Amino acid sequence: MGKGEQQEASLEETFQEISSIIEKMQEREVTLEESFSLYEQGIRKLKLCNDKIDNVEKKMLLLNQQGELEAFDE
Amino acid sequence: MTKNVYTVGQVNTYIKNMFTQDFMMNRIYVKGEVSNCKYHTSGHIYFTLKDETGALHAVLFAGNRKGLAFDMRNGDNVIVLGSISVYERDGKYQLYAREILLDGAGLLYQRFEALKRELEEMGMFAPVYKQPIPQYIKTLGIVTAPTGAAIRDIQNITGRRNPYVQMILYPALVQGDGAAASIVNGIHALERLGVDVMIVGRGGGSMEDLWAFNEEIVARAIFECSVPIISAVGHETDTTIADYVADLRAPTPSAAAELAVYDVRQLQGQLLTMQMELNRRLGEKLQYCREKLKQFERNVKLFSPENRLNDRRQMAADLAEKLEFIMQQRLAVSRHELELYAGKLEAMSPARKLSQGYAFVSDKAGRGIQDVDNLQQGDMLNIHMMNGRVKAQVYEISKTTVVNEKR
Repeated sequence: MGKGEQQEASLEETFQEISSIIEKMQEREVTLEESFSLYEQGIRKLKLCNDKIDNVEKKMLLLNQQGELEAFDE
Repeated sequence: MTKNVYTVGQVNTYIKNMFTQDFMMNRIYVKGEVSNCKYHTSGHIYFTLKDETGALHAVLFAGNRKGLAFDMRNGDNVIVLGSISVYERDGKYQLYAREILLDGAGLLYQRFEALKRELEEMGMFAPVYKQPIPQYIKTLGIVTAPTGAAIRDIQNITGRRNPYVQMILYPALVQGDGAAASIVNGIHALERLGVDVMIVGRGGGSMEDLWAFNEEIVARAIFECSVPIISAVGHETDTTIADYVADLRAPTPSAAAELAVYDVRQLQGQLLTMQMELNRRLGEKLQYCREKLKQFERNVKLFSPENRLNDRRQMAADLAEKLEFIMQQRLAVSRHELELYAGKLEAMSPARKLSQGYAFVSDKAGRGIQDVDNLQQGDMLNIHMMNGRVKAQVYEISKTTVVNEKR
């Protein structure tokens, strides 16, 4: 059992990363340059999350016996 | 000692309590053959269950008629689910039926228990094999009938929570001949297609209706599936083998959709919060750096040569002002003195003398003449008076002897 490892980070993982970035930004020792790059990373990751949501409304598909997908109309 | 004497009512109530408090009596499956079956006009069904050893009175009230899915006749072998309690008026205990199944189903129940035990012993229900349900999915596979409440409920809930999740339905036969094979095919097909999570299930029904979900091949397909599976079979009270072996059991198809599909608005809210947090943190950092910078700036200015230069400039300006002030004072004094002298001088002016009847005599060159010895007859003279000048010629010279002047 167990799926093959996913090649890209999942939303959960990305969330974790953003959280640690936010935490890091709070530290006083972090330089301003680092802060900028952290911020940039954070924003980029947020955008990634937003992209992952893929805001396109989807209709249900039906998988037929031939293994093909077709629109499902009730 | 006096003997305790009880009324019939007290005894019946006491016995009824004994039944009520007995856990097993409250939910029990009893099998037997139906006899004395009477369909009362009120909708209640009165009957007796019997086997070789004896009989048990039973009643199915009109309100529970949905628990009987077939036309029950005398001689039917049935399994009755219900509770046993005391009917105090007659002083007899009886079985209050909630559900009646033909004994074929009774056999099913035994098979269910046997398979459940077997699979459990094999460890197929063990938590260690349960795959976590991913929190954020993009595709949702559904193995259920294309018609009926289950697919509609899943569709509604998913659409409401996250319309961006792609649902893929494998239209499966969920009851009757070939149902188990159809469900297995569905699981395999969706696994091949690669969905993130699968819901396998159907709406409520009798034990026979749900039977496909108790088949071993279905259980194995669920167990072996690499995609996490949420089972959603029947109502909350129905539990099938599929439920035990699935990675997560949902009480209903609606609940399965809730468990499988994350709420997109909630996620978007979370993203927004994180973005605001990032902005705030960076803003704080910038503010902090700006403050620091200002502090350094102040320090640098304080010790900078320019600052000292400015000091000197100020000093010079102060001095210049002082100098100017003193100079002005000095000038004022001189001006005053000058006025005094002018006054004095005025008092001594020849013009003043002229106004008193005196005149000033000068030669051609304007030199004042004081001595007659310097003059000869015919010399031209200028005589200055208060309001004008007269040109004159010496007509006669007579010298006065001034005795005391010679002294």
